[in-house]
Amino acid sequence: MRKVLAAIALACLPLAAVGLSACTTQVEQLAPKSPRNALAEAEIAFAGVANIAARLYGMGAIDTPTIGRIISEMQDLSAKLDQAHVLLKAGETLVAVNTIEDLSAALSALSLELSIAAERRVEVEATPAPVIVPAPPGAI
Amino acid sequence: MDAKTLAYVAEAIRLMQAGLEIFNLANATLSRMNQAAGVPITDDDLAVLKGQREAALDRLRNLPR
Repeated sequence: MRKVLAAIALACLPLAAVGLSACTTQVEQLAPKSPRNALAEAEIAFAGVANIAARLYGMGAIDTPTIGRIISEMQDLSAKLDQAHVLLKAGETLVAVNTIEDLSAALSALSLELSIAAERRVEVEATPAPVIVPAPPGAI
Repeated sequence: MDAKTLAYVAEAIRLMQAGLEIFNLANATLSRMNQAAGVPITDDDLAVLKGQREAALDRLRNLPR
């Protein structure tokens, strides 16, 4: 029973990592779309990565200093997204596309880091607990 | 089943739920991105997405630490 449940649990986390990797690939493919579509995709990717980071932190896959750094990075990326909105409205399409490309690359790196954190959590779970053998009576 | 086994099972179930939830989050994000790639995006759409991004960032900022 224990072994079966542990196997299922361990199988689920790599699934999460696969999902994140797929997300990374998708984010990398942002550039060729129209600038509006690229911006929409980057917005959706941002929200997805933020929600996943929050969940990974909730399950203990990310420690407090790391989530602090991730939040700081995401605040910077959010400012870049705001900048992309302004540039697009002002008709500065080329600069907007470059900004979106920059931030999509940063989002990719971040989601890759989250994927690694999920995999690391699996490794921790996979480490067998030490077997404690009770001492025979009179041994102590 | 002893207390230690029960605790192990509870932890395994918690991990399973979290793993599936994260997988679903990643999958839903991908689906939405694919949808957004193939349709014309209006200013209103961008404003809604911006609001969702800000809400997600707020949730991240307000995590108990």
